[in-house]
Amino acid sequence: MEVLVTGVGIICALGLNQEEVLASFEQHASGMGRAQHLATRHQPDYTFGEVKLSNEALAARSGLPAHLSRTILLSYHAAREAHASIPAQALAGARVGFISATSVGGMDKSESFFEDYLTNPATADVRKVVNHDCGKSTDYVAKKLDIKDFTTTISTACSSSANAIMLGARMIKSGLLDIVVAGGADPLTRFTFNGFNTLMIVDPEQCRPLDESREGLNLGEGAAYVVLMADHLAANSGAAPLCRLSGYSNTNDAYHQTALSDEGEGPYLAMSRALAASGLRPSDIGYINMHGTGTKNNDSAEGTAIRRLFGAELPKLSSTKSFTGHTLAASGAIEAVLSAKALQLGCIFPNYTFSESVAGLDMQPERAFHADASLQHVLSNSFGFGGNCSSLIFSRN
Amino acid sequence: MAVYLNGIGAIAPVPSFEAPGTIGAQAPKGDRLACIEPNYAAYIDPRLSRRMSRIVKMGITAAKQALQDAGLGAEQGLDGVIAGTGWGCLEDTLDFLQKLVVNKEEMLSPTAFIHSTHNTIAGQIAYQLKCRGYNSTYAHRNISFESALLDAFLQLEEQTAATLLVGGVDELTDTSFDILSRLGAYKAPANSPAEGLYSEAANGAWAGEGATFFAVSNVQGPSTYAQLRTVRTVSFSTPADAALAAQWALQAQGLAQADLLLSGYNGDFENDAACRAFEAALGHTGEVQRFKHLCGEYPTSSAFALALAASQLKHKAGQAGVPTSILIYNRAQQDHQSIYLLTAC
Amino acid sequence: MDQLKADLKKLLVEHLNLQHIKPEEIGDDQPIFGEGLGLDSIDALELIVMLQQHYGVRLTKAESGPQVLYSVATMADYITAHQKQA
Repeated sequence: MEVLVTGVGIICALGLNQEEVLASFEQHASGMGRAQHLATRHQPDYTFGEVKLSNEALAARSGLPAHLSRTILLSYHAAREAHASIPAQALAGARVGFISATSVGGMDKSESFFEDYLTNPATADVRKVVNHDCGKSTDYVAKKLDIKDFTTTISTACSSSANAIMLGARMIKSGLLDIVVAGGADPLTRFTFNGFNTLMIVDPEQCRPLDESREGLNLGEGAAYVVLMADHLAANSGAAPLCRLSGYSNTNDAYHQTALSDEGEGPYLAMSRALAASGLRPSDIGYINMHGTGTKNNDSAEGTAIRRLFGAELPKLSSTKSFTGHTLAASGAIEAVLSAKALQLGCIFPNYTFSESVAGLDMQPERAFHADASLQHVLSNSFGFGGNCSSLIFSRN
Repeated sequence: MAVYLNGIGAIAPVPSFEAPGTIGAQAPKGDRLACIEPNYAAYIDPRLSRRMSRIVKMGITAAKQALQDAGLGAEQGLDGVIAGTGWGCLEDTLDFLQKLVVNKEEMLSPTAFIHSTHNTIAGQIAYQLKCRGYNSTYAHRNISFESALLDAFLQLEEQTAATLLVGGVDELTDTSFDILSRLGAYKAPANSPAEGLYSEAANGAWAGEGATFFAVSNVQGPSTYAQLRTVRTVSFSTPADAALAAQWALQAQGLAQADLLLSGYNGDFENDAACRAFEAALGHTGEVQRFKHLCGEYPTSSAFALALAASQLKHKAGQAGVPTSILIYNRAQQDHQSIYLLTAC
Repeated sequence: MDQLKADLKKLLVEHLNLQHIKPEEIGDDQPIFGEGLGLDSIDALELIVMLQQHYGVRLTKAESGPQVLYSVATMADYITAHQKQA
């Protein structure tokens, strides 16, 4: 049985849906700039990939209460777009799951609560932290979408939503579920921005992934979901697949809490096991959407792992984080959506800028969005704190 | 394809599971059931543990104990680590949040931040054991551990793994206790632990915490506690629907009912009414035990229940009138219920 | 300067929770990273915060390399040189 991607939903700095996001790439317009909604004292000095809507505006679009955590607002926005693609005929009688991912949960509200709590513990409004736990935003969205058969939330930092997609596929293959809406969401928060800044891996200017001169990542936000469906159900219900999820793997680098090993062992194992699972050879991959955060460590380790696996003949590759910023738990799903669109439309996503390859690797990312009708298989990488390494392989159906 | 619980490690408000019949409720420390903690230096090199928060030490220790209990070293084919945590690494999260506010986004500690991600526990276990296999963390309220165990079940079925460490970990801090109390989660202390805990004169449950890990495998061995037949979550539904799911699970194993039902009563009026409704709908006529007077209420408390159940099946095996099948029912709020079915080997 | 070094040693032990060594056991010129005291890159970041918090000295990225943080003596030198300008 094959697991197909029959629909997608996405919101990020590039746009509010898949058409807008695609248009941004076609126009080579990144979503990076000064934050307009994140209330950080560092706002004047740093570049973010912020969704171009306030909470009130996001809520108004979805008919949700405006006081909700931005995580719920983003998650529902994207999940709704994905869910709307499911034909009624497929939903009827199907067991449907919602598997989401987040690293911060309702932290945007919690950090605001904490300001009051530390000065006035007795009077701070505890209702602000009602949706703090990761699973709360997942459940809120599942209820709005009327998905009841299974929900859960994965939280493995920056590989979270890739792992959510993997679990969704596995539950379909095992016969536990028929359809899964899988992905993740993370908003910009002072917590995560300052956290990454203490690690001195944030570039105040627009990030330059895969470039020798790279100085670090830019934080982004967003949400994305894919609809996974068993192939027979898709065929019977008229769902039009974008592509197939043909392989996946999760491994652990087991080297350091935040950094990857120099030889990129975790990424190497994740990619090679995903290939083995898909029955493909490295030469079958037409495009790699790299994790490519723009930090010295990631791009070097991931690049090394790619060279180890692919040898002299590299496929086309890029990091789309130069357009979206690093959206943390949402990044795996955002990049899965881009991978699916790449196969559906026959196109390749580029880096935003590039001048010089990471020393010793001679890796040249694509520099312009372009059509590629020959594209058959896409590899998408996502690596998180705690050595968590995940690779997904999507294939033309 | 069978799934076996081959090793257990736990840090809990009770000293051990070895003599399950003699586990009595510990007196609460003030207003909560807090863990009895070992000397962590016996399990973790102090040069590494110096940066670790309490929950990470608890998780690593319980995981290592489970591995030891199963008679395994990490080099003997540990294929992965899967953790569930409802609240995550609270101490580090709150520490970083506090500094964020007080220092106004300047001079912040990187250590607290990097250890605040929910997957720190599973990640640090993998790092300690040099395990490069599958690694995931579920953070979904009171079905976080269930999700982790379901994932493990799938891995064993898919034959992508033969032995996994699976655990449920949650910690209480003074701040989280205060905030959750204000949200109505906890009840005021009673004089006598056992009776007071289930008294429904007040709403709320007893606050608890714990770290419980299992070595889970598709191979039975001398250390095997029990066979895990089913783990299932039932969402956005009623106790009657959960009872139906439990009946199907029993039928699938050729059982009319389980010998023992271990149920998640916690002293909260609404919760306990739902537990009674489940029992009634299930039509269970066998023995019913409760477990939250031992471990308190926390998102991954069902991991404690699983350890308690598995220990009963192993340590009491062969004695007259002891259970050979145990059904566990747990819930914490209306949204999610879970059932486990395990049998003696 | 001697008092500064003594204070730095105490801060090191407290701030980094070094349970296996006493402040007076740290040599002035002893390398604190790698084999020396066994500190790593995360400790380096913590030390940068510590120096800012306690002495008001800020290390920029270029300087945050091994030179300043090499030993207690090099840190003390850096603080003495830069504190006046803080």
